[in-house]
Amino acid sequence: MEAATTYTIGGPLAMAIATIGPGIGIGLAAAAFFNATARQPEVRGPLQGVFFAAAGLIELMALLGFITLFL
Amino acid sequence: MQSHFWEASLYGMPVHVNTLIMVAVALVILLSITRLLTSSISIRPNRLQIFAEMLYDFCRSITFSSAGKRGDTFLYYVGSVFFFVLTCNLLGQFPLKIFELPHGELMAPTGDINVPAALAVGSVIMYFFFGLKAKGLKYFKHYLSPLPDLMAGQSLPVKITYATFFWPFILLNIAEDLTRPGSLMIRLFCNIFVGEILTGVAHSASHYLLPIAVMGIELFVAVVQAYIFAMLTNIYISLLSEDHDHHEDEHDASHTTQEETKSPSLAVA
Repeated sequence: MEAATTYTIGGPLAMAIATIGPGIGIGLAAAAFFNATARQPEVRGPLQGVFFAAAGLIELMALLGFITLFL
Repeated sequence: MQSHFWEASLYGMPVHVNTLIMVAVALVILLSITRLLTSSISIRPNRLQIFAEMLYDFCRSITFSSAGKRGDTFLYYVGSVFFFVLTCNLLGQFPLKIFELPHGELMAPTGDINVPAALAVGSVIMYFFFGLKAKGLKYFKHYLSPLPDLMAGQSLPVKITYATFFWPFILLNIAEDLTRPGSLMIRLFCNIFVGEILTGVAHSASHYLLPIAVMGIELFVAVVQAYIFAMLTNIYISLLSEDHDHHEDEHDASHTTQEETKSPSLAVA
């Protein structure tokens, strides 16, 4: 329990840096999704599932940063 | 980390009893709901049966999107995984702190890394099973993946050059069998575990409203993570059990059926 409560600056900093890339990535995916939906509203249903799956894939990068908190 | 689990030992192996309890609860809930929904199956469906068919159609839409009709062969696994992960994720949102255990506390079973690890290993076993079933020993050819396409129709010196430069891809293809379950496991575990931490942080910040908002987000995350887990399992199985020889026939068949469905409308027009 002692090891878990004593924080250094490195872990949180790694977590913070690791969130930058996935943030940009999910933002780009969402922008493309909104553009496509605005142009062709009928593709919203099929694209929604693909968008969430892609967002989940991109999210893994931030979660790997989260893992480094415990290393 | 240690204090969250109620550890027991079974034949010398450590076992997390609180996770086992929650998995058992999830299975009981799933089986009883299934029993309830399929209790009165008839040609003229009642409300329960319509709901069950809706759930089935949703699972089928997952496999149909990547594999078409071939997806019906592994629909049972993808659907089971979806509903099991969904139930496990949603169990974490119940007020489980009111049950007192000797050690640790009850939490969502997918928030313990052993459950996602077991599910990820299950996905690997299933894509090996369906790949070997569909292609036989030709399944192992995909480990050489860029080389056969590159070498097709080339002279011998060019083939040797490709082999010397592209052999590391074989190692990458083998490593993929480890990174796929690893990424599946870490994605599910981290999302649920972070949700538990976030609820705790919100609870320590304010006892009203803020934890409710976070738990609302958690409901969304639970559904999306279950969907992603099932979707990725389905994609791995359908990619690796795809037989290229039969694929063209399927394509032709779908083409002709499309023409058949189009022709009546043309006749009407």
